Amino acid sequence: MKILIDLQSCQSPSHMRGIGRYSLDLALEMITIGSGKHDFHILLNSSLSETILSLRAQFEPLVGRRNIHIFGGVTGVSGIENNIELTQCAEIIREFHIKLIDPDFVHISSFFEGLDNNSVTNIPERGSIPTAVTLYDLIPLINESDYLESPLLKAWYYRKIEQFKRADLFFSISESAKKECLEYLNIDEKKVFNISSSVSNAFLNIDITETESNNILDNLNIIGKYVLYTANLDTRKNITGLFKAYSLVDKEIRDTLKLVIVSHIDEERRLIIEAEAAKAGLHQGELILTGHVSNKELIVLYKRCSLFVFPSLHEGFGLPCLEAMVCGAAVVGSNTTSIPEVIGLEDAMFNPLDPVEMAALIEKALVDNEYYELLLNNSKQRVKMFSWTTTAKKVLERMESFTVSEKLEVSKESKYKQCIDSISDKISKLSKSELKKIANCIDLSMPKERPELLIDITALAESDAKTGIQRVVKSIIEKWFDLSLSHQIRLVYLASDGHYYYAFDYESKYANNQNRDKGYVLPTSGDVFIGLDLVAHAASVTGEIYKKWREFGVFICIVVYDILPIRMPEFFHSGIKDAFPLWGSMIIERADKLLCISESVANDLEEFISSSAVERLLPYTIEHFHLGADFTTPKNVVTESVATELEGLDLSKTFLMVGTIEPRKGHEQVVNAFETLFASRKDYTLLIVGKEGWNTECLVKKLKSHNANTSNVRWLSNCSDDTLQYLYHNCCALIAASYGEGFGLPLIEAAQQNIPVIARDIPVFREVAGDYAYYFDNDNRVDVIATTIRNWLELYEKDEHPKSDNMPWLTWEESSEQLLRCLNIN
Amino acid sequence: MSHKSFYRAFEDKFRGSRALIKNRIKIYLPFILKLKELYPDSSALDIGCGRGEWLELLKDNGISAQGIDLDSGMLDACLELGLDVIQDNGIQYLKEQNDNSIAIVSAFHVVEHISFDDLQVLVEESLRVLKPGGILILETPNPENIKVATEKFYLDPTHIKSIPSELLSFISEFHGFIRTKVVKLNEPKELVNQNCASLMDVLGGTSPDYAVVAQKEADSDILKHFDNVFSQDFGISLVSLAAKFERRLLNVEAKTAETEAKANVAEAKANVAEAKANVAEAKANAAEAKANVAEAKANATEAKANAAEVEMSHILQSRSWRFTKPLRWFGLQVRLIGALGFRARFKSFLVKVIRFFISGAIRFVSTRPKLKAVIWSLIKRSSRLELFTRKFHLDNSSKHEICNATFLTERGKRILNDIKGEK
Repeated sequence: MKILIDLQSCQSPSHMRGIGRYSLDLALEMITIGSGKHDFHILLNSSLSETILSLRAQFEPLVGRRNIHIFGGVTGVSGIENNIELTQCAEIIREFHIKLIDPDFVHISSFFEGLDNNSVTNIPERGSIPTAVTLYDLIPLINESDYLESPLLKAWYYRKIEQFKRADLFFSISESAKKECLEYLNIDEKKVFNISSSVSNAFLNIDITETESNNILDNLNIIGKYVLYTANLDTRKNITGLFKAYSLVDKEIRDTLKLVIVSHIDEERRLIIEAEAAKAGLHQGELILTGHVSNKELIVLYKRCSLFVFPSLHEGFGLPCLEAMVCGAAVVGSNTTSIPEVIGLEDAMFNPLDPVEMAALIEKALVDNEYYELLLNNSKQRVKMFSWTTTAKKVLERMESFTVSEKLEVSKESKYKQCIDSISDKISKLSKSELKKIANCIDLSMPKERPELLIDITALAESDAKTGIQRVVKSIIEKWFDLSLSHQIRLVYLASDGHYYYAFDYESKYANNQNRDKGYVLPTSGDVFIGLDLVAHAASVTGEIYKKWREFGVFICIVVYDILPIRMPEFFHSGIKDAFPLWGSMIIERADKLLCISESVANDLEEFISSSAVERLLPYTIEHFHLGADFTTPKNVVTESVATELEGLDLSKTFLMVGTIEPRKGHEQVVNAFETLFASRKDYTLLIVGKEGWNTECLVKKLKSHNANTSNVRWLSNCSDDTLQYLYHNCCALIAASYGEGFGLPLIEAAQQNIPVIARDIPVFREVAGDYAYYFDNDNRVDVIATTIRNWLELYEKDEHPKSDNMPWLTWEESSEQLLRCLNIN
Repeated sequence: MSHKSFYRAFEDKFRGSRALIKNRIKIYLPFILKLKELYPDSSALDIGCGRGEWLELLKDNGISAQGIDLDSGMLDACLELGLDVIQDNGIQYLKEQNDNSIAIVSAFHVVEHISFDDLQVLVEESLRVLKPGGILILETPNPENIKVATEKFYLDPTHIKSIPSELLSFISEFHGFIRTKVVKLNEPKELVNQNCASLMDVLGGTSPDYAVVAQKEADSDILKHFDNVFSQDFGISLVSLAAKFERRLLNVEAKTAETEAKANVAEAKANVAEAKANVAEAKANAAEAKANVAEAKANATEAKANAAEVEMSHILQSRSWRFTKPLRWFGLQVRLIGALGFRARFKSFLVKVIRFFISGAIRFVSTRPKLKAVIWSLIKRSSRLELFTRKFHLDNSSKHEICNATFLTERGKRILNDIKGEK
């Protein structure tokens, strides 16, 4: 059975309260015990975004990313905003989204949501999918004067009640809640089932040492023995009743005790409560109001209390009683509503409206050892009666035995039409901006006909600067467009307004873009994003975008070319150096998959992650692939231009260096080495090919003077492709002296032309060239290179140097396929 | 409609009722009565006598008076009352009078109707015909009043040029009058004693009319009798009103400082409570600050705020949602105080209140270019006022509308069209 659990209660402010915890525990347990049999899906609301990622982190490992559905949540629909038409539209959109998911059963974990937030719950009047709701209590309905004084509140609650009544199954959390449901809502008894409750797993799995417990009590200013109650300040919690009763307890007993009340409280109410305590006859200092406490503190309070008293007048279940029992406390409590179901011992209960009776029981528990043992034993026994497994089983059994009428096949189009028609009916009451909001939410709620593979080509879309990264981007997308994939390939770019747009015009170079949308990009669940281009400068913007997209269920992948600006900041100018760490932190926080262009980069990245303080909620993986290379048939024709450029060089005795002149590339060390070699090996020349780059004024000056004089160092700042090809083919060796690279394309290019490679011993060169190169130590002393050249020449002259001929390398086709496999797309 | 009856009708509508005018001009009686003591049989000449209120007042006080006016429509009213009037050019008539023959020459609201040359003749000739110690009264609209200078003066199409009091006194003294007194007239009486002035008071409250009362040379014993009346002060000046307005601002400022001081004490106390602010709220605030772009978050926060209002409405047991509007506002203020500190909120509240009062006046002014120019020069004297007005304009111009359509995808736009039933 396909079961959809609406977990908005874990998103709304309820997630801080018991209802949110209950919903979460029940859903987790249902999935844990029912996964083999059923297909579980989770429904969340896009507008309550704060909690989406943490819920995804909890549920994705259980049900998978694709089974978590985010419907477009319209904003401005909370009960207190009282915008009925807009609220109805939000309900229609949620309904539409559910119909697209097409489950066999919907379970709404908490129905009375959305009073003070944008949660949307509803059960349509007709033709809805079988729907179950959890019923916690009807306290506001039964105690109207306390809870529904405001007409707005009342109207809201009554509207929810009318919708609520349409459910097919009602899961009450206690027998008493079930009775209320039957009595006040007139629901058919056959539809209502008590599934009971249990203590939150999050609550139970906390380990606390003895010293920690002592410290916690010290911090709360609790010394010695105490009687405990945990409650909010609603009238029904009967705090005043407890004061009256407590003041009747024998003075001598009270002198050795404190009364501790755990409650979320502000200063004003604290004064009121303290005044009430004094009025009832409690002494100064006898009462301790802790205010809000953590779960850990609460557990300690339960464990160490002499007695837990629960004088509440009305409960849906009475979880604090059970929590206290789980922690081994002796418990006495009211004999009303659901509380007897939890306490289960006649002798441990009192009439909460009778202070004398309550006082007598408290006193008895504190002085009568035999009775106290009875209470402790009762707690142990009762705890066994409640478990999430039992509760979840009951839910699943009821759903399984529900007779489902046969599903009608309805096309997507007619579901859409139905949604649009229902909204069109209300159009006259809606403002323009509301209509836009609605359209946007429908858009978000509707997965695309074919999922999209969104490829970031931001820099390329702006201008083709022919940088290394842009060459990679072009090579890969060119290959991908040739394939027929499950996903539709869409090129996107980050515009200056901070939003992604389809690179529609650029796409037309590769594909016929009829039937493709232009404009603003709003990915939906199932789409995959790959940050193929490097957009390091806008990390704060893209970080927010990827977060949002990940909430929607988009798989976020980022290609990492290198993190050298982080590892070796001394080699980069401040613009890159400052931006990169931010980008690095952003991608490790936001990306599901980090795709590095070499294993070395992957290792560097891993090191960076372990040193970074970024916390990522969701799991991530780091994978690597290799870049491709274009194979060019050796060109051995000396054109006129080549001849002029290379005049006076004996290439068979020329070492080649290729790459922009910048400190990272290690030119200086090599040039200095050749200067010292000049004395002994005058016949060998170093030829540097590369444009002038950043921070190399000194070196460039030196190179220029070398060019002017007869020397064994030559610099070609501007070299045609033909000449470079010719050099690769005819030079005696390539020297790769860079201190850090993401990959090592020149090594492959040298290997293609079969000239030997002399490389700095850094991991990425080892990875690319393996045993097919001669390595020198990664050391910046001049004599290291000079010695290396001398030693290599000895080998070379004996033809015993490592040959590059068999160095393996990938074509772009192979590289792009490797990358595609990393994305799990085929 | 003939010209005559037009001017009569105009006068009736804009100059004020006969009784009102007669009451206003009683201000000159102290001068007149002194003269009567001096010359018991004295006579008076009123140039441009109009409906004859002045003639009537003189007659009531036992002074024989003759009126001259070109407008026969006006004179009819005088004849009805049995006043001595002639239809003639006043200046011409004046020229025909003997030297030292008349005790009082007056011209109410005449000088703004005649050329500067005629004005000089009028003053010169008056001096000649007046008896020693005799008095010339020239009343005219007061351009010191900004509303008069920019608007009221132009109500009368026959007005030629408005004359500042300094010019009129100077002419009188230049031609030989021994002393002059500027009598500012007809201001709202309540303004005189009021301690503070509104902006509208500054603009329109200055005495709308004034007269130059000039006295012809005489023996010092005679002149001595008049020292008292000439040393009296009349009316309200623009400067004094502006000062009153300024004082009001200073008061507000002083009170702000006082309240601020109190707020600081309260704030210090509140800091203790603030420190205890619960973890969830702190987290929410941090998240809020961080994600100010996310619409969803903003809305969640709004909803939370609304929840607080509902709770508040609950506490106050309000009967209807409508009643909670001030509460909502209050709730917002409370939250803003919590977020920004009491001091900042109180300042912003104060600015709002002041802006509310000023904005109306500014709108009035900005639609009247001439008035605006005058106002600007005035306002620049008070830098604080300038600040407020600038700020007001700035606030108005900086309201952008956020366009949502740009953030709809193409499919989103198609959906929107489907909803609207458009293609």
